[in-house]
Amino acid sequence: MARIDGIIILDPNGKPLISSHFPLHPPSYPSLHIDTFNSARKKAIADDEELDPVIWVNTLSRGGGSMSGAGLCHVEREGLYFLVPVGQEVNPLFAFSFLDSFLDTLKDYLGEITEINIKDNFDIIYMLIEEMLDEGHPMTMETNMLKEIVLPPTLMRKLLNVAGVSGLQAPTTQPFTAPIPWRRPGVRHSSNEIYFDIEESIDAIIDKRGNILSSSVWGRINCNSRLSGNPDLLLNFSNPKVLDECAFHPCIRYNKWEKNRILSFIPPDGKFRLLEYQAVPPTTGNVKNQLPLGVKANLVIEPNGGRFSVTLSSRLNSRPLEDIVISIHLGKGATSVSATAQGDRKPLGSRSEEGAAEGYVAGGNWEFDPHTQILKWKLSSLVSTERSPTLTGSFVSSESQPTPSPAFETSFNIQHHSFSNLRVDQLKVQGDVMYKPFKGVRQLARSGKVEVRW
Amino acid sequence: MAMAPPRKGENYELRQQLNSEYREKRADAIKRVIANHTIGKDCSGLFPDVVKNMQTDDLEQKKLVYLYLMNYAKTQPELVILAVNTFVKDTADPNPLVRALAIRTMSILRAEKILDYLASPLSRCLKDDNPYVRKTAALCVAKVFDLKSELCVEYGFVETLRDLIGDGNPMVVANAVAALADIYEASLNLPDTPPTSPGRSSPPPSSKPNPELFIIDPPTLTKLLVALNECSEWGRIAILNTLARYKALDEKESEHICERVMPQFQHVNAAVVLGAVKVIMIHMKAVTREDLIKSLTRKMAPPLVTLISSPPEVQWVALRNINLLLQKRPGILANEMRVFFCKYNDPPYVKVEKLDIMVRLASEKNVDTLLGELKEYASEVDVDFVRKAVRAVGQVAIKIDEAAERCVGVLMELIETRVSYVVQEAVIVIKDIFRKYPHSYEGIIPTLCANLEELDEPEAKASLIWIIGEYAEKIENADELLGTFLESFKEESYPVQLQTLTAIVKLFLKKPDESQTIVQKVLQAATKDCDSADVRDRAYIYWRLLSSDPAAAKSVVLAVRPPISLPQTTVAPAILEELLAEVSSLASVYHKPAATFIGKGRLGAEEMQRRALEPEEENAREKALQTVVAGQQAENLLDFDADDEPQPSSAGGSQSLSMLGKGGISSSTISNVAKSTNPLDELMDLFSTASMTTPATQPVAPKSTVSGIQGLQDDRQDTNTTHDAFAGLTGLGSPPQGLGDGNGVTSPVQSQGQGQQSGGAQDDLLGLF
Repeated sequence: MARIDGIIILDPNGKPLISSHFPLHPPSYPSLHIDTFNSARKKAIADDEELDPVIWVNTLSRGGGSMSGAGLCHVEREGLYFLVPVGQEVNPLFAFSFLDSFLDTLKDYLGEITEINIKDNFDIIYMLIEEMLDEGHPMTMETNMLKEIVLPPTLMRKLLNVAGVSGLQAPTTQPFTAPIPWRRPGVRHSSNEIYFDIEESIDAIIDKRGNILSSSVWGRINCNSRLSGNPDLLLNFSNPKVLDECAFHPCIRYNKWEKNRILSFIPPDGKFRLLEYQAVPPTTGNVKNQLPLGVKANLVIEPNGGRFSVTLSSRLNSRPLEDIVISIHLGKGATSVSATAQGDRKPLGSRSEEGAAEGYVAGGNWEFDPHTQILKWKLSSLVSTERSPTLTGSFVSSESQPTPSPAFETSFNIQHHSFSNLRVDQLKVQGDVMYKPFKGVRQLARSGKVEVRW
Repeated sequence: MAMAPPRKGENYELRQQLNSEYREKRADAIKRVIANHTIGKDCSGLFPDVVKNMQTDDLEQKKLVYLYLMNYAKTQPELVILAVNTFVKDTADPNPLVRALAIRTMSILRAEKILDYLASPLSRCLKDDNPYVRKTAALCVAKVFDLKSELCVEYGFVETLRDLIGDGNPMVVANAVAALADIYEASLNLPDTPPTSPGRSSPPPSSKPNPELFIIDPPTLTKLLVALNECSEWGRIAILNTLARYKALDEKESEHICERVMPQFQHVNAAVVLGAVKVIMIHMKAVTREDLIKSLTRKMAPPLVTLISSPPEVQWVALRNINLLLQKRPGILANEMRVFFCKYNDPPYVKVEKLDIMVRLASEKNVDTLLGELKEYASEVDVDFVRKAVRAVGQVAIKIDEAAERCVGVLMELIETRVSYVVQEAVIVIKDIFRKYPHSYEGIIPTLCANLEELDEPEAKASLIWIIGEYAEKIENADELLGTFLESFKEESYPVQLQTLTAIVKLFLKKPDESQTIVQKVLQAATKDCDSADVRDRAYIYWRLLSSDPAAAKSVVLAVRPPISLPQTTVAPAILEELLAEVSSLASVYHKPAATFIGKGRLGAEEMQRRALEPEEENAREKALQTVVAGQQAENLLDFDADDEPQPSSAGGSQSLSMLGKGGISSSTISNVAKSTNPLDELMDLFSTASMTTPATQPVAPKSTVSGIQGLQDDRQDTNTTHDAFAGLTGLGSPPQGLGDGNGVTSPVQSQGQGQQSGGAQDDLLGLF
């Protein structure tokens, strides 16, 4: 059944910060889960392994002495652990998506999810949990609606509380009367605006010769809507065909999309994710061009060390690549690196004397962290016309057979670019609105997990 | 006499504050009480003082007091009654939030006394104007049912819930569905009639609601399908779960459900996607329209692939499920192998699943890409993963005949790296390839032998020795090579000893002139210096065979082995069906049926095995005729201590023998064998029968149905004892003592004939067949 048992938040040491109450279970139930989790975590750390995302907990409860158990789904965020025990046959994804939206809501309420924030606002978190979970059934999960019944902690409220005034700002007395579950009735804004952020990221694996072994472009459209009344929107794309495998916010009318490839919806108020998609791989032209960063890399392993060289180039003529970071894991035992980075452009806004200490030259900065054994080479920007920057160097390792990772990671951002060339054609605002809203579209393309093998 | 409350300490202070005349002081104190409870301090002593603060206009304070009540109602049930009046009053509050809060808290308290006061407010709230109150009340019904099902029946709450499925608000519908499902589940565990009143003439009011209430009729189905598109993701999950349980009337309805559920593939929430996949997998069984099946399978793949870009924990769950779905419908992701390529920094649990899926997707078309990829993985640093990658190369070779040569090429390249664990794993894998394609790649044997020194793991050693024995006639210095193992015979582990023994006997049978001495030595060593009963037994049997009838020995030792193949499924078909019904659940992650690990008592290994056997029960008899000892043996091993051995297998086993045995070997003859003073001939006959029929056996132990089977499954793939003609004997408990005793080789069988020991032997043999 679609039901979880509750939620437990642990601090970085594994001590409980907050635990929802488990009415169906004996009082020892949460501590059983906490203990099992902590010992499993300790063991995993000792063995240098990672914990399976779902662990099995022997709960010795219910069912008259016969053994029974539960699954325990857990995630880590900001050093805190969030556990969801599942005592019944449930989709673990259900638990994970619950955790996901729970964390989103917490972030929305607290700003940042930190131990201190959680301790300071434990009463609000308890109330949230009570609203979100009704004996394990998710009850009210939409942040919009939650804010109607549990007021977020604001500076204003804190002041008022200190001053001893209360009840000034009370939750609404008629919750959930709205005909549209995701939108509050009677929204008013002094300036009406709506923004769309189209964000695409590319995942790729590149082999030794520079060929793309596998790649996929994932996109999401985040929306910030500040429109009064009940606007009904029609969003047109000039090339909707590039959108493959869409996952929609429930506000989108699926049939209209299927028929006309137009997004028709009444938006929730505030920030929300409108759409996720996978871009259709280009059928014509070279697949190689999809990845705007060209990488040539070479690694020679020698006893107690090795030599490497990495050369970058941009395949994108229209825009510069920004915030390029190459991270190379040099393997256990790597102690030091000496390298030179060459290029013909100075990184923006970095002073030369500062860079010199870290091995700065015209081709960007590099730094090596002996604790993590990661060598990072950072370039603030790269355009297709400049001479290809190169990092060449060698490293020393205490191991006679050094084992650098067989691949390294690259990351970059491109402002105002889209891998898939998705373009918004027009946005029509219909419904009971008497204003002309301001509309904005912004595009960002960035690397997801791009791995280059050598 | 009750102890007077202490006049000092934090609780005393708090009590003072809770009774303060200033509201903010009281509010602050309540917060502190909750905070103390959070860090594990006992605040139950403050119960009466906290309850006093229940009557307040401040909703937030009320919530916190209710929270406190929920936590301590279990330990102080008699005090809860103090709060009842406020609760009942609150259920009629003008503020819907208060109404919902009150009704919900009352049902969560789980106190019998409160329940009686709950009934009439609940029936009022179920018909409340506000949807928030209605949806909260809907879930309360399930909770009340759990505590006191008679109450629900008496007040007709279940009927009301059913009506709520037609509610205008999709959230109410979703909660009503969820509550009904919970009640349905709980009602299955209720006795039909209350145990206190056995009389049948005047049936007492049953605590079981009318089962018809849970039957989904076509109008309800329509309502559900409509609500599915309107409610929140959580509601959708509840509805999808219900749809998965629904038995469609006819094919048309199944088609209808599939078509309506399909759009859910496009939902952002991974749990909805997987829930939809489950519904479609279940209802697709009834669909016969080719084009629909095609479009369903086509549309099912992409959303699954999309899940691969999620965070690792979601990815893992998705991969486990994909792995399962592929076993049923291997076609759904045929063109998507590249998506599963491992990144070097993927968590290990994700990598292993990806690897498994890639092997499953391997086909002639993509095998070159796959092999290139596997070669990459074999150069990584994570030893475990590297070994799995090497093993995957072998699996591909066995799965795709055309690619076997390329796989062998890759393996040879890997051996050249001379990385110890890579070489060892490669040797193990190559042994499997030799099993599948005998006499195909003999050219690589010299290279393998050159790496003899590198091997230090028993499994790798045993594999290489097996290869040397198998191809002894082709290897010039086979006697030398085996001689090196013989020198260290005593120090080796038992599997290596067994393989050395068998390999040298094979060598002797193939090249008798050169290996007289070495075979003498190994038989001596194995019978005299070895402390494993298995090794000794095998040595004695070989010795007997060789000294009395070399021809028979040949037919036994050099028998043709059955070819091996890669199982398409890693779980038994029956369990697979059960798991598919539970796709998107915990069971699918563990690859074990839910009942084995969750809920009321786990199923033991026996139950598990019974399920694996069940569908075959009917034709078990015919099958058993073809099935040979080894195969059955493999399965019987499971219930060493099971009282009720699966009847068909034991009966079938003996039947098969009596059918196949030449010279009238039947179970009775078998028992005679043990008593006979010179039973050698019969024994030989018996064994040769067994060995001759081995090819037909192909023991298919369901892999990883229980973790205990793991060992068996390994047996199947490896050159362990199971594959030799003597599998039956070696696998079987402890043999008669006489065999191992100092009587020497001359008359081991005679000692067997004596008194009680013969009884033991008889039992053992019967147990076997």
